Amino acid sequence: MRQLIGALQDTSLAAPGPARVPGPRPSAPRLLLVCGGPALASGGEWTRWNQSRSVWLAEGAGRGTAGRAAPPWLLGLSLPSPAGAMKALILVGGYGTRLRPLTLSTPKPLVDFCNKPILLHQVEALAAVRSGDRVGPGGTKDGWRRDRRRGWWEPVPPLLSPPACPLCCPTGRCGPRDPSCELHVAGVGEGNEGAGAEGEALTLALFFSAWPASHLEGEVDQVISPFQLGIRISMSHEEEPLGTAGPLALARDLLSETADPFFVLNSDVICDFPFQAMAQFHRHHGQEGSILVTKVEEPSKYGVVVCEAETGRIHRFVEKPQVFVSNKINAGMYVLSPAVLQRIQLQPTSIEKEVFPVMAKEGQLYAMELQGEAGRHRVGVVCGWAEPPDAPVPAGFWMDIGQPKDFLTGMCLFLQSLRQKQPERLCSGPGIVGNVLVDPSARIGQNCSIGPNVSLGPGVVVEDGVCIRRCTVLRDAHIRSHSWLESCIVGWRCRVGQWVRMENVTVLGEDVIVNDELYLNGASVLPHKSIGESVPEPRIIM
Amino acid sequence: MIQHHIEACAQVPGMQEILLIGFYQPDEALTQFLEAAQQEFHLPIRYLQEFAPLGTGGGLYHFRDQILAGGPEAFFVLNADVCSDFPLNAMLDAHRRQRHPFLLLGTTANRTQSLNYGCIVENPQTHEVLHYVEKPSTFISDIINCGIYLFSPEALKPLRDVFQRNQQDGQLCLALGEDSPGSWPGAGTIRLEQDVFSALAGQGQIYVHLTEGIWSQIKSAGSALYASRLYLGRYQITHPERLAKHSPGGPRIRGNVYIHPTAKVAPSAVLGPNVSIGKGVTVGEGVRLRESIVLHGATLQEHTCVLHSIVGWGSTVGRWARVEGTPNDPNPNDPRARMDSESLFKDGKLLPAITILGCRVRIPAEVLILNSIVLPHKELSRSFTNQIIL
Repeated sequence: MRQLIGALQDTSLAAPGPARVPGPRPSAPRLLLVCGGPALASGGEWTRWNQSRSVWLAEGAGRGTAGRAAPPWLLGLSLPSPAGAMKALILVGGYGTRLRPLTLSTPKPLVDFCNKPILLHQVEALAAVRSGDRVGPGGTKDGWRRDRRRGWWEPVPPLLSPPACPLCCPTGRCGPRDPSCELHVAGVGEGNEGAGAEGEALTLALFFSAWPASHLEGEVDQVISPFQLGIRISMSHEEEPLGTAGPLALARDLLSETADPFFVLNSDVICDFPFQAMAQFHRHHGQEGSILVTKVEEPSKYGVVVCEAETGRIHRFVEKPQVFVSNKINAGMYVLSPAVLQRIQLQPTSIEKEVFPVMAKEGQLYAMELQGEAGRHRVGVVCGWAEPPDAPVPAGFWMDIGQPKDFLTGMCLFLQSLRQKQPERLCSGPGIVGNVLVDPSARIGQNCSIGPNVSLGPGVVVEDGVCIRRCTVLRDAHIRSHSWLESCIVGWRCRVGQWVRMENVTVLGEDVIVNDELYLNGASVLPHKSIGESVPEPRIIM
Repeated sequence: MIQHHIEACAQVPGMQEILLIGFYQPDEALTQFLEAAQQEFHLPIRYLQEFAPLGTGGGLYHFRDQILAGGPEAFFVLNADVCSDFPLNAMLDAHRRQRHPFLLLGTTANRTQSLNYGCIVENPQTHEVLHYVEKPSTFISDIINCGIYLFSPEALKPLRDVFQRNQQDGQLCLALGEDSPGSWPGAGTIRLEQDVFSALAGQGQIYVHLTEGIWSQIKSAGSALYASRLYLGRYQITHPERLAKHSPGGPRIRGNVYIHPTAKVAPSAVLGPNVSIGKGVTVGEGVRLRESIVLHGATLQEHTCVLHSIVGWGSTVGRWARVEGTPNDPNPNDPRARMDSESLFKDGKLLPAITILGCRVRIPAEVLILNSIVLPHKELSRSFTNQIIL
């Protein structure tokens, strides 16, 4: 395993990127995706994703062999640098069984959520924490700039506004906007955040390192232009499932390179990722771990977190409480100090059940509430965009989108959040109702009624007279005329016939054909099926 | 429904008059219908109302003078609730070859389904009816009574015998003080099948004429759709001009479709097979209709989909709504299979069947009405599945 990590380090460090920005590049920040992969088919998908984004896949020696149930994927990211790093580990573990049949074709983190892979939502949010280190090409206008390729406006990080770095520029070592100067950016960023003293600014600089990200050329061109993530992503493959804590031990060497805390994320949550606020919160209390918690209406379905109201110090965890003890649940995002790694062995371990309770008992664990913090992470934290400075600050939303029903609910929340923060990205026009996200390459026919709460992916074709409500339609799907869809997820390259009615969380896997005039009620259809009969009651179509 | 009967009768040469006999209170609709039919077929058509429900034979005897007025050679007796191609001329020919007081039209059914009908045992050479049982409990014969008869005037004589016997029985009952309604159905009631056919079978008076043409009972709404399909299929042969054809600027037609000339159908609609659209119906853009009957004055708004359903008079179906039923058609692989006279419930559950919207029902946009029966004048607000909406 150590060899594997070593190999990973070598690979990720050695991987050259086309230099785009002149200047010193002592070492690039990188994301380390520690991946234990289930099906090799999915592995192929990962590889494709990687290649398209100039990311490096380091395959472990013990890649799952045929005939054996392969371990789940684990994914981590870390951004070490000599000067300090932002590190994050994303747990992309598991087969994503709850999101089947979609996850039969694509690993869950790569399933498009609102036209962007779930993983990319998170990675961009992480990268955007220190956004502003790059000068974006193209014009700006009132703090917003146009993304010409995607046709929407994105905020110019306000971090750019001070013309010079107060820390380094007096020395003459860098120009006012020299992106290669991490101190410059970090200092400005912290200054803009208004969070405090210069010493803290420096710490932040180490935390959110500002290295040129030119080797993410593919990423820049394909997905996040003109923003650059400034990260490198590495991946590893596990031989056996290690639970939610095991991968931390696997990446121990990387994570404990410096004393800086690191992020740990579950891969299936979507929210206003408040990473900056979390890092500050973590530094503020100074203990080993911080957990993001969110309020829920029915806590009895979850494991709840009991904590001090004032400080957030966690007393205990209660699994599925029968009487009310708390309405705060673990939101699946943590900031941990490397000291936590001492608690974790390289064996299957649950971080929630085996590590956190012990830490809580020792007073090392604090909870930060998502709801109350929503206003503090105003800039660029959600997927590379943010609200204009005078926009109302929405309450933070959070959703575990690990199953189709919640996936759709999460989509509604996300689109509503877009409405408040960046309504330009939403579609409007005749036949469009409410919050609707449409990829520019999707085509919609005449006399349709689309929305509210619909996202149409790239290459989707919606013929005339179609009504779609509360649905996600993935890439290259084709909806024929006069059909009616509500609360559905239509998979990649599906063909839905004329006068089809689909409702009640019907999920079509990849490349499903639904014949004309059928009614699907809560059907889960496996990939490549052709449906010739109505499904009046919810069931799985093998 | 009855128009098909009248049309068939009108095509029999020498038809003098058509009498409709029923207990139904005549109303304006019936009067209008009769006037229109008289003009169309140039025949006197009258409605004779029974003073009480007289069974299948009582009306015949009660109105015997009206029937025999004009000295007819013979008269046809048709049940209204059947759908057939009415081979009346063939029956008349058979009658003229051999004059028998009773000539029944028979057709074949499969063994299990014959139990729901009047079963006929015939002499294969002479076609004399040897034995007749109405709705037997065990298998008797696969020849069933179609409810279409040709009687000669002397056929009224056995009816008189039955009538008089009933009267005597009635007086006997009265004398004994047994006037409970179940023991004696009422004066003048004659059940043609049990009282006459069963009694006279094997006496050389009743003969059967077998047909292989279309035939179905129309007892349930589900069988109405089936009958509609049979008639539409027959139009291909008899009245191809009545079937809608695809025309430039008109709706897409698949299979047999009847569109009343006054109906407004949008060109992007797709109709058929086996769709019948009534007077003054409006069919919007992008509507799909299959195996359905839309009665007069109904409106189907844009993008609706109506499958295996009957949309009642003046009903409205909103945009993107779906009205769907489940067909219970006879097994198409068994040529002898007949429509089951189904019951609506089984084990306390509503059986999936065609969806029927009563008159002036309003279906809102985007809902689903599946396998349901909606009673008249309902305004629905949500989707329904497998329900009778009172």
